[in-house]
Amino acid sequence: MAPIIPIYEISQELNFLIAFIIGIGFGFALEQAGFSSSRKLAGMFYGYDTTVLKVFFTAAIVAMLGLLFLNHWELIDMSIIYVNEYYINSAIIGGVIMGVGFIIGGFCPGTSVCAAAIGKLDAMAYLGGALIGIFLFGETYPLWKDIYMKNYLGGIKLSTTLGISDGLLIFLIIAAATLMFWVGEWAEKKFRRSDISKEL
Amino acid sequence: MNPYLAGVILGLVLLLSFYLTGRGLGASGAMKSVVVTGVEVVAHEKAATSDFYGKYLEGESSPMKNWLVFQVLGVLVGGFLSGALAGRLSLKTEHAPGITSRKRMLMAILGGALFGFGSQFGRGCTSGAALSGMATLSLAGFVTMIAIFGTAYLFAYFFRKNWI
Amino acid sequence: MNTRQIFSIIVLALGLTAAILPNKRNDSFTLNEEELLQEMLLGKNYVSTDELADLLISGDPSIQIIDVRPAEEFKDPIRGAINIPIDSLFSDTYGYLFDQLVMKNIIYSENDQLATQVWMITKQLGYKNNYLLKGGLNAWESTILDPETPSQSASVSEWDIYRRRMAARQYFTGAKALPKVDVTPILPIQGRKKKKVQGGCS
Repeated sequence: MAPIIPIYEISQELNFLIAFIIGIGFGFALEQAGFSSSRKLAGMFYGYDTTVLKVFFTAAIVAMLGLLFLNHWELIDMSIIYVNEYYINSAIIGGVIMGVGFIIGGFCPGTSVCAAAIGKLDAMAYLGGALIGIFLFGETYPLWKDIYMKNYLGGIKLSTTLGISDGLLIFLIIAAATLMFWVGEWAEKKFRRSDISKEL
Repeated sequence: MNPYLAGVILGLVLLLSFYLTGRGLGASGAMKSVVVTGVEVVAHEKAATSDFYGKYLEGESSPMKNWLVFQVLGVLVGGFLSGALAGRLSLKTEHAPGITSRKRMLMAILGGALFGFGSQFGRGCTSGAALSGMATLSLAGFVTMIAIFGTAYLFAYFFRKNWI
Repeated sequence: MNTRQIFSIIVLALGLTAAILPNKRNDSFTLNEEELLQEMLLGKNYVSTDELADLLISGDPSIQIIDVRPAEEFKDPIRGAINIPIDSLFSDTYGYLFDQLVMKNIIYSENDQLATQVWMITKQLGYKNNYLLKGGLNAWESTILDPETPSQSASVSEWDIYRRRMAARQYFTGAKALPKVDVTPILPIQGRKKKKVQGGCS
C-alpha cells in the first residue's frame, strides 16, 4: 500500500533521488505549460491568457481524483498523507501578501525556478528577492510569532468543514472548474492581446 | 503544449509524489533551506538561538539535506530540459513595452521579496500550500489559494502597466 | 468539440463517479478480517503447550511469556511469565512489550478467550511477534503439569509425548527444577510506528 516511502521505510538517499526525479517532472510540466513566462502568468489577471487557471485547476483536479480513486481501491493510506495544517490568520495574511507579490513580481517561487532555468533574468532577480523576503521574515519572526501561531485548526479538510463526502466536494470543485475554464476561454477572446500572445 | 494536457501531466506528477512519498510538491521550502543555511554560515550563534532558524537547525544534518531542496534542483533540470526541447533557452528579461528592463528587474525583486515573505507567513507557496493543499482537499490549501489569486486580481489594475 | 469541452466532460464524469463513492478509510497497518481469519485457521499464531515446555526447558532467551489474567487472579503462573492485566495492556509501562521485533511473546490467560482478544488487538495494531498459548493455562495444567496417562492400547507416539510431558512436569514441578532465570531483553525494543509525513513548505 502507498505511500511507499514512509510505509516501507525507504532510505533517505533513495528518497532524495525520488525527490529529484519528481522535481524534473514538475519542472518539465511547468515549463511545457508556459509558466516560464511572467507575462503569460500575469495574463490570467487581465484575461488575455488564462493558461495558469487551466493548468493549475486541471492539475489539482487530476491529483484529487487520483487520490480519491487510489483510496477507493485500497492502494493508498490517506491517514499518512500530509494534509496542510490550517492556521486561520497566517494562511489568510500570508496568502494576501503572496497575492500582491504575484501581481508585482509575475512569478510564484516554483515558476521562477523554472523560468530561471531557461535563462529568464527577471526570474533570477525574483528568486533573489524571494530569498531576501524569507530572510526578512526570519529576522522579524518574533514580531509575527503570535499571529503566525494563532487560531490553529490542524490538518483539517474542507470536506469535513462542509460536512460532505470527499467525492461530492471533488465533484463540486470540478463543476466550478469547468465553469471557470469556460469563462477563461471566453475572456481570452474578449481581452485578446494578439501583440502579447505572439511574443510569448 | 495544450494547457489541459500540461495540467494533466502536472497533476500526475503531483499524484506520483503523493503515492511515493506521502507529500506534495513545493518550492518555497527549499528557498528557506537556502536562507537558513546562509544565516547559519554567517552567524552561527544567532541562527541557533533564533526562534525561526533554530527550528530547522535542530537535527544533525544540514538544512540543505531536505526533500524539497532536491525536488527544486529537479525543477531546475526539468525546466531546462523542456526549454531546450522547445528552443526557449535564452538570456532575456521579459517585460511590457511600456516599462524598462531596469524597472522590471526592480519589480521582480520586490515581488519576489513579498512572495518570499508571504510564503513563510502562509506556510507554503502556490505549489506547497495551494496546489498540493487542494489536492488533499485541505482547508488551508483552499484558503491560501483564494487569498493569493483573489488579492492578485484585486491589485491587478494598479500594476497593469507592467504587463500589458 | 474543442479540447475544453472534451476535457470538461471527462472530468465531470469522473467527478460524478467520485461523488457516488462513499468515504473510506484505509489503514496500511492493520490486517483485514480475511487475513486475520487465514492466520488463525493456519494456526500460525499458536504455540502449543508442548512447544512452550520445550522452549522453557531449553532456556530459549528470546521468549517472553505474558499472562493477561486480571491482577487479582494472577497466581501460579507459568514459569517466567509476567502479568499484564488487560486494563494496563497498552500503558506506558507495558505497551512497548507488545510492539517490538526482538522477543517472541507468548500470550495466555485461563483459557483461550481473553488471550485471543489481546492477540487480535495486537494484530490490528500491526504488532509482530505475538503468539497465543493454545488452550491457555487450563491446557498447560492438563497436559504439562498433570498429564493424563494414555491407555495401554495407545500408539507409541502418544507414549512418547507422555514421557516427554512427564519429564517436563518434573522440570516444572519437581525437585530437580533449575533456579528460575529471569531473562530481560538486551536489544533496544523499537517497533514500527505509524509516522506522519512531513510536508508543505514549512
